[in-house]
Amino acid sequence: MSDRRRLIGPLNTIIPNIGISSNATEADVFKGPSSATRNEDGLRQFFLKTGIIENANGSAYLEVGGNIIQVSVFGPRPIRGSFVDRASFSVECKFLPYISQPNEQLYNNTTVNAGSTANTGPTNANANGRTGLTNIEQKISSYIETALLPSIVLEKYPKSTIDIFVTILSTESSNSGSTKVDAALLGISNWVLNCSSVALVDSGIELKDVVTSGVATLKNDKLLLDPEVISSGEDNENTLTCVVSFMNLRNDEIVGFWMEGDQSKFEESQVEQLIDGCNNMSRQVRANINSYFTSTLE
Amino acid sequence: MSKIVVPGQYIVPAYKLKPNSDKQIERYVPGKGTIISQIEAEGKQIPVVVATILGKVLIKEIEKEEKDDVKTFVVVVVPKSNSYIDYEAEFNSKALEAASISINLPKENDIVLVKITKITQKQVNCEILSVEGFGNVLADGGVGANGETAHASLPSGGGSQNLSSHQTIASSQSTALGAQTDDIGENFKGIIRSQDIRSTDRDKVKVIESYKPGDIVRAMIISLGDGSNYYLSTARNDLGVIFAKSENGSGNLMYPVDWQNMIDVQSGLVEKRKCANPFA
Repeated sequence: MSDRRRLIGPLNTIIPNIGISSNATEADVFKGPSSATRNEDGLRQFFLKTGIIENANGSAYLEVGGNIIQVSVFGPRPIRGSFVDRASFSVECKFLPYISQPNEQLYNNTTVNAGSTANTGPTNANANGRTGLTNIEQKISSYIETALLPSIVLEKYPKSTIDIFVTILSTESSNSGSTKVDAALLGISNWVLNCSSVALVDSGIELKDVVTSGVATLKNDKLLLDPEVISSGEDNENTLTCVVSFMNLRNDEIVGFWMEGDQSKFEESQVEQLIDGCNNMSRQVRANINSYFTSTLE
Repeated sequence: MSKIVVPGQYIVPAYKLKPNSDKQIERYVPGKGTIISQIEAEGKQIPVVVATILGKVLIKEIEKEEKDDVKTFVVVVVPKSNSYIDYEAEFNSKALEAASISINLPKENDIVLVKITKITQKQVNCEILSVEGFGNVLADGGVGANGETAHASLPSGGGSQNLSSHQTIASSQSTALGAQTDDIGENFKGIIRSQDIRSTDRDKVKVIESYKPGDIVRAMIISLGDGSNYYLSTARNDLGVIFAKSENGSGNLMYPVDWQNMIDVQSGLVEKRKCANPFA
């Protein structure tokens, strides 16, 4: 789709400062996110900022651990075709082409180059030229869409679309060659969801509640909230990982649920334990988001 | 006393007893930026007025003619300031409540400003720029910056067209069949049919003597219309052309002489338009 009438620059075009000294000091060089410290509540610290993309209706930027996520919300925008009495809602989640995607060996049919490490080299088949979504991007987009849909008051926006574009700038996934689903995929989905919710609030679109979510791993009956990447394949034995999304101020309604792990031997009590864990994390994330928003208005 | 709320936050229960009273009932109705949600507390479902946007709470009593035991209040959430609200608030303190909500799609009976894009013998096509009393429909007012463009990675047909995650269950729930986004940077569009241009001699209206492409027109929404167009009317004295340039836009700004003539004072040209008199 291209604008047939005008030439428009890319999102947030910035004219470079040509002529500035090239003697960049060490402090200027981006070193990438450092491993985040954990708070007393067991969660990693995260960095959040809204309104970074001026020509989107709403946007948010989030850093946690090695994950960097940027979300822009467009809409409500007009549609073409027949009348609809409510907005349609869509989500598109993309990794930057040179980012290795979590579990891509498992889902994207890619092979790992020997010796390749996290976040280096395009490991996707035809990463740069691809136009559609990879299977992993598809999975994340679909989860985010399902979870956010119940929160949006779509009836307020007839004849329009609301589109969310997620760009993942960095992940903490590793190319371990593991064929098991590790925490990275669920972990990134969790933070993409939280970031998208924040962007939706920033856009001013009416919401029944802010959806937040939590991710938890149950490993040998030990519950870990917001797990970092489990890199070696062996560690994945006997683990269950789960993302659950909630509307915490609407009676803790569950709006999204995604579980991965060893399916043969889990019990109901374990799932309950995981959901409770995710709910705790979701509430903590929500509290942080709330205080962030309150501070932006003061 | 204005409290800051985030979406989902409880503001006040829909019904409550007045403090220090056991008879006086207070009723709260949701205004802009709020809805009623059923919240479970102590095993009961309680209707609560809940915020839907980030902003500040305003609670105002509705004055009623007849005396009655129930006092009614309307609850509004005013979004964080945008330039339009600031501007309005300078002149009119009540504007804050009216201009609440940062996104304002046109509704029936709203007065809008449109730009004429195309005329035919039967109708006038236009783009809706802003809703009177609320501000621009799109954040950029139709300039065209407000759209996803340069993502080269978008699938052919665009990221939001029935979406690429088309096959997933999620999309089939939310994306209405056949709902496609418009070209980028385009506004909501409208049509003024020739019989809706003025209220007298409707059958003798000549579109070419009423509007020309490029004119800025004040009009009223009479219908949400079909998928592509709103239906508008200018059949009122205060509706019609507000700004127009002579010689199909190549000339100078014109001023209204009467309800159907405009004059370009520099060249002396007089052109026919259906003029608005918004100050009547």
